[in-house]
Amino acid sequence: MIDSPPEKINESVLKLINNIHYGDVKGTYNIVLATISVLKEIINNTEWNTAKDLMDSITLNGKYLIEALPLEASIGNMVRRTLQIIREEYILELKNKTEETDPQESLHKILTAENDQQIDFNTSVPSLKSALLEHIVEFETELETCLENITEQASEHIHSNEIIMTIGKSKLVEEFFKKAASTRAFDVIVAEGGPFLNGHEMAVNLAKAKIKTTLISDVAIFAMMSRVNKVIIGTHTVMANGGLRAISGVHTVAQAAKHYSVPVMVLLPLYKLSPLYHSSYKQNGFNKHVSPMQGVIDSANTQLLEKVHAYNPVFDYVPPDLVTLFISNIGGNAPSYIYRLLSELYHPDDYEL
Amino acid sequence: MCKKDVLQAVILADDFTTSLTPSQNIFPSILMPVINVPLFDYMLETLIKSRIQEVFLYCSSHIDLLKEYVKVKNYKGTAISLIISDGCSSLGDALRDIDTKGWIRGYFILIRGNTFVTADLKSLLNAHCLKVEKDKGATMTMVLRNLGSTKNSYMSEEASLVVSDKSSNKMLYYTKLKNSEKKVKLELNWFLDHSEIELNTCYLDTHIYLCSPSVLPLFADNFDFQTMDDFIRGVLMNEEILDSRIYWQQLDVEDYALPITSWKAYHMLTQDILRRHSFPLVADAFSSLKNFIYMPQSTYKHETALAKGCVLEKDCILGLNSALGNNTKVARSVIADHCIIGSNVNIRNSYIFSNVRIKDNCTIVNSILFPNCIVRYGSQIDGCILCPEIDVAARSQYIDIIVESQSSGVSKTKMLELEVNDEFLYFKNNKLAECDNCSTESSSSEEDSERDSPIPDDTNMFLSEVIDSLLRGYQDKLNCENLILEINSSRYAYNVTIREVTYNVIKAILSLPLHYLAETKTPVNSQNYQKNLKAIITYFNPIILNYVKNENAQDDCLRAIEDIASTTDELLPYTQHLLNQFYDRDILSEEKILEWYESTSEDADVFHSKVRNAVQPFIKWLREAEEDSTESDND
Repeated sequence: MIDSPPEKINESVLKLINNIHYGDVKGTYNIVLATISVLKEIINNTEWNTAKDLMDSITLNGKYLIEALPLEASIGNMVRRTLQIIREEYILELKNKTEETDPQESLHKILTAENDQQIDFNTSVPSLKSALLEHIVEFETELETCLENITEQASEHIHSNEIIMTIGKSKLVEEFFKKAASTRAFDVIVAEGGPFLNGHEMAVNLAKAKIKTTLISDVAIFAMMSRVNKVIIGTHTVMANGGLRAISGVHTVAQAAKHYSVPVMVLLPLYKLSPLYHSSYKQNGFNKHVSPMQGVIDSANTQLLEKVHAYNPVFDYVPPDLVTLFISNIGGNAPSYIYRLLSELYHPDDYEL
Repeated sequence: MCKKDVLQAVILADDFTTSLTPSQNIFPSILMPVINVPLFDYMLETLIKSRIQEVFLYCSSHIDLLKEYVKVKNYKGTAISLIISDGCSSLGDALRDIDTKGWIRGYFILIRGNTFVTADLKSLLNAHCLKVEKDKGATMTMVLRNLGSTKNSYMSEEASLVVSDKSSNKMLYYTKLKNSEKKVKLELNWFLDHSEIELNTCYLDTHIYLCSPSVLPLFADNFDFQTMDDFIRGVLMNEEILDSRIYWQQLDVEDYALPITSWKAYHMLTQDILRRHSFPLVADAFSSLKNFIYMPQSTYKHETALAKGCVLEKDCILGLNSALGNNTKVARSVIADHCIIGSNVNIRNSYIFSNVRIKDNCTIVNSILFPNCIVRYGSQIDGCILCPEIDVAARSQYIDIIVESQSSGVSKTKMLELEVNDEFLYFKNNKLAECDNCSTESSSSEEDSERDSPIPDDTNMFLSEVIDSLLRGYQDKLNCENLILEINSSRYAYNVTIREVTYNVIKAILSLPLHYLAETKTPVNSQNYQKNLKAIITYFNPIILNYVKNENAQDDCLRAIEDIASTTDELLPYTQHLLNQFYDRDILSEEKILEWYESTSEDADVFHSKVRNAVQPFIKWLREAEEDSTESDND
């Protein structure tokens, strides 16, 4: 980043932005871990007296992070999650009670949770810091086991001799298949996922793990769908309504699956669940348009390049009605249940930072 | 072997060959705003991304601006040092200067300040180092970008001929192709000495050079290396003696690079950035161009820009706090920050820098408006460059001019009057035709420009040479045979076709009296001219006879007479006598004269019809004589 940052922004936040911007930290999972460690550092190393101070500081830094990297929705999720942790811990510490019975709030509780509004976070609670750090460490372990928890469920969803379609490359989907393959045999059809063609690598990796793999081009998705039992894909983000922001091509797969009534399952580590809505394609920061030279059009054709507009969007938006099931680390959920997960994970006040 | 401690890059803030008149008076090339962001911002982003640790910025003009800029900017992990040398005027001098400083320790990247690049420079330099491991004499690797065929494109002037050894990418020959040259000379040696060679015209020099430490001493040793082209030519010619070789490397197909060598290239670069070819250095992904909303047809709008009720057709960008009125149309243009533009304005292919105000009902096409200009109600601006703080009065019409403000007032320079190479002419002649219009249109405009272009230099030089020879011959009363020999040898020297020779010799003879009178300091008037011309023609009769032998030559001769007569007032009344004289001497035949008189009259241009009118009595006489003769034959 070249422009000078505003004051009050934490040093490590700037470093994180640079690292992500210049490609040192890649992949949503790594970004999430890096974000959490930065937020932990803010809690640990900056001066604050009350929870309010801390929340303001995290909101400020978080906002800056999100603005700098609008595409990485998971960063915003982590900021919101941290704020929620602070709220929870603060209330707990204030009431000075040990944790009540169940962490799952009931619907009734959520509806009557208005009294949060009245709590101001201005009381200084000395034990808050250590409690927070403890909770965040706990959360970090949750993150670490998150992917494992999802792959654990593989055998519940993939049955013997099923034909499963996926598109492009996703580390999580790959692990999911490998896990299932350890107990049973099934076929995987990989759509190559143009124009980046990550599906090639995916197919190679699966074939190495002794899974029967077929690589098809994106145009054959519809033709092949008739014999597919299940579609299993990864995603970049899940919006608040259950819609997906996934790599381009996923919409095609989901549409074809709908036509043939094939169930579409989406692997969703909860850190990808965002409380934001997708309003339109013009929305700033929803999509990333990269150079058309990356697979769409030949760069050695100036005559053509001068005359045409070529677009190369990275993401597709898939409406929630095309998704059958989200497989998250706490189990399978239908898109209509996303609102519940959201209210568990984040506080409504933090949706808009 | 080039695992030196730090990666160094040398950037020349000025590129001494750029022809972005008049912007060099305002910015050094590296601070030229591209979509309202200095070119250096893009460059810095690439440098930081490539992990270049040390950058030397060589400044030779606008030093204060550069100092200010470097101070304000904040960069991570990259140290920028300024090398200041006021008044340095060529790349060679700059590099010699850097050599004496001794700050460059190993392999380095040399970047000319007018370039834009997105590639990873570090991996490019590493590739150069690998070449050095194979060949100790590898001095420099040029980074070239494959453009494909450049025919009929904006880039047609950027094409160069690259001849290289296929297996090693060793450069054998490199030259910029000029439009006027239709032929390329290939040396037999290239084919004999190498098992496989590659000839390309699709590569563009990106102005990025990966250099071994030996480059600077080479510049220091050879004082005649002024430009990079000199260096490349010099090294390639003396490969053996200097023991250094130049290689080239193709830019990765997904990367983008384009040096701004002319306004045309500037236009091209901006369009490419708007069309996101240069990702990630594009609006809304690049940190200096934040908060832009990307809309279909490659249009961008800053979040704060007001553009209700106007049409952003394609490839355009609206900057911070800019406001557009109702019904305003914008296509292929950049509107920078804080511009206020009225209603019913039409803006095409134009660059409007910050704080410009444009009132209602204006039309701005193919123009560049520098900061703080004001264009008042209903003005039309086509193909112009307005320097900072120009105020254009209401309802004025500016076409093809550069408007500069000076202490005395406002100066306007016609584009065509400028003594710059034609590359500069971003406008009019170099069709900036709308690309989406049908291709036939653009091809026809191209033909026009070819026809309009002045006679190639060689022919002009040949003409002046002939005039000199004849003048000397006439004064010293030399033998006509010798003069013919002399003319023939100049003909070979300048490679002029025989028809051109006839044309130019006649032209020279007809304009000779003017030169002679000037030489002898006699006043130039019709009488003196005619007297002298008569004497000269008599004297040079053998020469004329020697060149005007066949019918084609007669055509050329008549063409020459017509051209000279139409531009020289002294000759005009005398033309009929001249034709009569040529007719009497059997230089021109009766049929040819009549044919000429009738044939070309359809393209009735004022001058030529003037000539026709002047010679009418003679033609009349000729026709009568002809009738007489046929009549007498009949009898």
